[in-house]
Amino acid sequence: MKILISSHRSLAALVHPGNSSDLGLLVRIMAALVRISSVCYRGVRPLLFRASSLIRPLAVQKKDRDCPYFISAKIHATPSNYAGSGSKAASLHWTGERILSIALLGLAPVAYYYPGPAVDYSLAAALTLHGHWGLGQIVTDYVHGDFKIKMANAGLFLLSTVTFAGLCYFNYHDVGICKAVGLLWSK
Amino acid sequence: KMFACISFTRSAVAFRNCRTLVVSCVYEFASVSILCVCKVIIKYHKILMTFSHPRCGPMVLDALIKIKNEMDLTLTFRRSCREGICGSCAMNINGGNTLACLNKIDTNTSKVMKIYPLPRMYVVKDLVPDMSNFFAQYKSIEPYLKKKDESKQGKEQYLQSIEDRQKLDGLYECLLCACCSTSCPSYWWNGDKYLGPAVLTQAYRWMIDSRDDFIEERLSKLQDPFSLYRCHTIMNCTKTCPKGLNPGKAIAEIKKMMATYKEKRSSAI
Repeated sequence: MKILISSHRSLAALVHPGNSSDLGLLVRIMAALVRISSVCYRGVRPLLFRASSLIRPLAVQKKDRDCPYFISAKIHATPSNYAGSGSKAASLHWTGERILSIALLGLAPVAYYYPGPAVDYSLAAALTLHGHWGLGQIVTDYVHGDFKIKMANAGLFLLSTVTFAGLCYFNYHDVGICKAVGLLWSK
Repeated sequence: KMFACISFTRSAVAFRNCRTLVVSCVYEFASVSILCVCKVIIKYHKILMTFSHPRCGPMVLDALIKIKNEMDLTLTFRRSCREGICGSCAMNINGGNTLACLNKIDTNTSKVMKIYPLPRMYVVKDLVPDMSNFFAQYKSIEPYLKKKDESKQGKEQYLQSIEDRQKLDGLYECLLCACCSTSCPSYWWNGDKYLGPAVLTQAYRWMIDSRDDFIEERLSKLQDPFSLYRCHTIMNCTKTCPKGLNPGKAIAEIKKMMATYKEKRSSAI
């Protein structure tokens, strides 16, 4: 038993971090010898309390060979400097979106029971604004890159404007939204 | 024979105080002798391994350690406590982010288990992701107690009622394992600017701590389109949390507070 211990200690001294090619084999031999010597010497009970009796003799040697690069992260936080003075723009926008959704939801039964130009124009405004804000969120989610964001937002703005103009034209010169939806159920 | 006995790591941990190694190998260790037959596919490791060995611990982490010990020493993964409290072994197992040490291996041996690193994180090696961005975001929310009046610091405890302390339950237990954040599609697409559910939950934890005085300042730090408002209540975070916490709810509470808090007049301190 004592011969085993002394042999494993000499083997430990011989292990150099540089021999990566046969390090695997050496690790296994080392591990086996460490285990045998520790178990034979002290019995099995200490193994219960040692989580990694395997790695310990080698840990000190490998520590300084850690990754030579330092992974530093930059979080590109959106500058809240402009909001530092207390602007609640973002949360107000969020609140506005929810209020508009509820308003639109309430507008549906009103359109059914009280169709007319007032509801027609309210519906046109609410629908296009809801769609504009919703698509705006989608653009923020999926479009990356300064130029592409600008282009996407410009395109979106154009789309919303045209949609609103078109709906207003429809309301004025044609039957109007409420009546048009009603016509879907007609023969 | 001695080398074969090395592999019976678990069996060697015997309750009987065995003097010789040979006897300890033969000793049956019933509670961990679960049939462990599984094919483990580890994407970045590019090795398909099949092993059928009658003795392996019940959790995925046990299987990984066994593979590392016996088949491939170069398999690399983080692990520490092996009991679901440190958060090191977070990885994607069969499509869901969990801790490997808490995820039981399916005893149905015909099923393949797929193990991937956490989704959309830069991979350092095998199952080890680069967590730098995650920790930098955590640091940015200032996760420590801030008081307006620091004169009483260190003199005695800052007292807190039982109700106030109960508000922190479900928030302080977070391990920062990043399972939730890396399960969030918004974090996938905007991980550089969106803080993610883990960090936001901790931001909430400090906002509602009754001992903290800087709630308005913490809220106003989130006043931009990305830090908080990329959350669209997808709720993958709550679904995947290995500790059963509810980051989705915490974020919803933040949104409520953001809508209703009264802005403080910036005082000249």
